[in-house]
Amino acid sequence: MQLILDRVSKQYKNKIAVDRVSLELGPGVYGLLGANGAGKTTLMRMICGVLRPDGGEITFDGLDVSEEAYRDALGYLPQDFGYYPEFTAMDFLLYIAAIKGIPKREAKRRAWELFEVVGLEKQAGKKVRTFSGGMRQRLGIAQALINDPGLIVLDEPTAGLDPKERVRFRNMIERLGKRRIVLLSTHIVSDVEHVADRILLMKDGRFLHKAQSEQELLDEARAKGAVPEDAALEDLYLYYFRDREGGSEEE
Amino acid sequence: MRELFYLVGTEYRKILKRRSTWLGIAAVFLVLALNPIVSLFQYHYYEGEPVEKQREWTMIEKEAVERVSGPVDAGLLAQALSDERAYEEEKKTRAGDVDWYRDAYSSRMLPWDLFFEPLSYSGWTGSDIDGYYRMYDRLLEVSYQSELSAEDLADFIEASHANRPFRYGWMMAYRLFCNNQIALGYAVGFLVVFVLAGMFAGETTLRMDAMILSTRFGKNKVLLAKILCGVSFSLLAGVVASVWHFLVYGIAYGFEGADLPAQMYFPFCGWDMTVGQLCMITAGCMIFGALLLGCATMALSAYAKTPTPVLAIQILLLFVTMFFSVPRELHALNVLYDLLPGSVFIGRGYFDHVFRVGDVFAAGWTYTWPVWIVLDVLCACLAVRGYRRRQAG
Repeated sequence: MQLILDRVSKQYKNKIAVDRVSLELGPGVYGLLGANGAGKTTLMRMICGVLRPDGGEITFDGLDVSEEAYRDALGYLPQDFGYYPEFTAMDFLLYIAAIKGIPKREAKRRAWELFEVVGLEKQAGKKVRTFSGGMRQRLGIAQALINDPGLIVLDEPTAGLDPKERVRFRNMIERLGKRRIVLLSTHIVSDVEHVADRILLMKDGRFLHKAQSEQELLDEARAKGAVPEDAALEDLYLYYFRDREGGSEEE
Repeated sequence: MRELFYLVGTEYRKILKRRSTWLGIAAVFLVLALNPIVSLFQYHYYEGEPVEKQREWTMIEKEAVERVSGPVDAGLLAQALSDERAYEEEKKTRAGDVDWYRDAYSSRMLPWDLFFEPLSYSGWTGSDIDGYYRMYDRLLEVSYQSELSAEDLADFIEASHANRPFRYGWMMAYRLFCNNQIALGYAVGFLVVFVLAGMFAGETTLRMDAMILSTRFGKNKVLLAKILCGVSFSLLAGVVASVWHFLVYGIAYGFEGADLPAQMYFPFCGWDMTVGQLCMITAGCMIFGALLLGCATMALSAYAKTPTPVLAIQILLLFVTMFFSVPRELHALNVLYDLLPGSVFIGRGYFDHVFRVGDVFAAGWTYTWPVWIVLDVLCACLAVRGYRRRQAG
């Protein structure tokens, strides 16, 4: 199982959002960290086939991103996703399952399993429009997993989750990452600290670091004298991205 | 293919989840299809006094018409005219007499109600059978002289004689079906617009685009399924409404009369056809009109952020065609305008714009369907383009 990005680029008018990014990922959890406008969402949308790269190639186990089979192995939670107002949570999952090509009976079985995983089993028959932000986010996570994907891309998955839900989510991601590729982006450094096997720091459309672990990243920064000896990942984040605080999201 | 049908089913479930869809369907059936049944239980009045329940009155009329039905010849015409005159004479001295009215009207006037109705178009006051048929020729002459050369017009009128002598008989279900098909067409038109305006509009606004595009079928089959869903819904709405409408009238008034000449209902008809065929043409035009309206609505929907502007444009167009027509002097514009679904629903243009191909005379109902199918394909292509550019692409 391998996701390969080969010199992938994307430009919006005069701004280069993603600049010749190359990467090879095997099974595991990957945390994508970066300030607003770093290019995280653009990169994720290209990996999910929502945006077409201006240059470069994206493949998963040899399948090109434009192929149906590629998307068959993909689960994507967009940063900002919606729902059809008249849908219940079950309708929503069954709809997504249908457009993912899952037969109805299997879709129903998977939906109930996932409702249990994300703690929405009692709300399955309720309209999504009545859900809180956290409940919607959990439903979003469930839809990303309904096809049992090999490649899971989660854009800001913990947004709107309360601390208890966040812990539940981390545990779930840890489990999923054992035999899948999970790529998640977040502003919340502690989420990455706890679950990511590898941290990808992104700035101005490029990877600053592709560290194997949080420790490796910190060691490297300490060696450069960029952060104090007792620094945590959060300090490192502030060091790298302080000049972009308050910047605007280009995507 | 199986996957595609499943996706079409999913789109249907999406449509049918909306309460507004059910309200629209209920409105079409309650207001228009059940209306004839309700009217049967109302009363027929004479000078403000109730005479008979409409149901019984209809049965009396049916029996009366069946007693005199047959070829429209000199004998039948003489009997019709003498009954009418006798009734009008006696009526002068029987004002307000409900009992007299029930007997006299049902025996003298009711048998001829359906016979005299087409004649009311021309203000005909003649009394011989040749004059009666000449009136039909004259109606065709006046109607089509601006569209056919003198020679073609003569041939057209000659060809229309194939149905003569006309046969008179009971055909109330067909008459009412054709009369009310206009209202039904508009009701189905509004339903199609109402339901399909949101088919594409708002995928981006609802922020469903990224999720859909990242799925296995999100780039192609979902789009195709949406179009197939819209197309089949438009066709189904038209077919089901027409069949239901016809069954309701047939059950209420009887199915007799399908083989009577079309001219007995529609005096401007120059074709050798029956009332049953006329009904099928009327229903076909309505169904294909609904399809075109559905495809146009989907094309607009693909470019819109919300269903509201789509609804506004389509409903405005339907109302414009309901109330305005293009003068016949502007022939090309008139033909194009009559191709609009709203024009079709109102029955404008089915039997207009006649031209000759060899020995066959073609009118709106023969060429509009292929033109509409081309337009349907064009609209579907626009919907695909719009969806990919504006909604999820």
